[in-house]
Amino acid sequence: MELKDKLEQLADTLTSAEKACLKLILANAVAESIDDADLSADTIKAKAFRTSVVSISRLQSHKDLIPENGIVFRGYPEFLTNETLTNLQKESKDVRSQAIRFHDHFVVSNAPVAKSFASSPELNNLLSERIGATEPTGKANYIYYDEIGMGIEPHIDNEDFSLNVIMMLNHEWSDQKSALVLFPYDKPPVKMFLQPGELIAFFADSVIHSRERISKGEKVSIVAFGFRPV
Amino acid sequence: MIKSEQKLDTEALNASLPSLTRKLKELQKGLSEEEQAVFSSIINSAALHLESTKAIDAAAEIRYMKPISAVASVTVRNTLLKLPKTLNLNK
Repeated sequence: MELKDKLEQLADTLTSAEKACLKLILANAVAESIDDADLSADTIKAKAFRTSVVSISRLQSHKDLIPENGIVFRGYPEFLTNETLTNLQKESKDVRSQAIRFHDHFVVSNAPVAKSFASSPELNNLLSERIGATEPTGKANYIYYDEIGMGIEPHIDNEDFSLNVIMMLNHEWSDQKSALVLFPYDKPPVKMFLQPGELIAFFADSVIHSRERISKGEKVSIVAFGFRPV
Repeated sequence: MIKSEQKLDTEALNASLPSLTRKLKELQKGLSEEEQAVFSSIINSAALHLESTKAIDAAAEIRYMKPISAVASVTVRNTLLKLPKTLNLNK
């Protein structure tokens, strides 16, 4: 039995809050090591990185539903009309002044248009057709990365966003554009540049992900909808 | 089915730290020498990273806010920063 197995056994004895703190430890350990050159090496640091990444996904009760890369869907859903996209983009702009700074990005929670889209049956069906029964958690957040240096460290989400459905609303840049980055276990990081209206659904409580730092002249706004398997 | 035993707010996270620390100490007792080294690397790396993000957080309203658990409360942060010492793993 390896350390990752022992951590999985430990997880069975933890409360939700203890588990959340353990996930914080593992996610921060990954974030510290992520820029190191050779994480496939046979060193203690590389083993610590791999153990942390795999243990995060193993801490979830729905670990067997998680695809290898963590992604359930990426693309332009048929039910997303131009009108709905425009309404989401407009609301995102309209509520920007109400955003609260958290860590190194800004957030507005549960604005009406976003909340309504989050509970649409079509969006839930998009997920449940692929991984079995799911339900919206009722959480919908506009997120803004619109100052130089903003972004978000490699992290995992909590149970309100076990399945995080992210839609790109606006991405402006001059020289360099930042990516959404996923760090699947035992594979190189995957950089993704979503287009407005493009949507990605992934197991955000299990796959480490980040937003690269915003550069000069760059602005990103997205909306994130929370779902969970049932 | 996801079981939510308790509301995961700042208070719940803070309250869970002593028992989690105890369970991690118990876990350590059953680790081989190499596993101990890997475990130590995880705990120390986490503390190092939290230390390095202090400057970013100075400008933020630090709190446990769903959906993002990249950082939690000040108490959680401080406890994790001290965890290498608490678990006798400080390098």
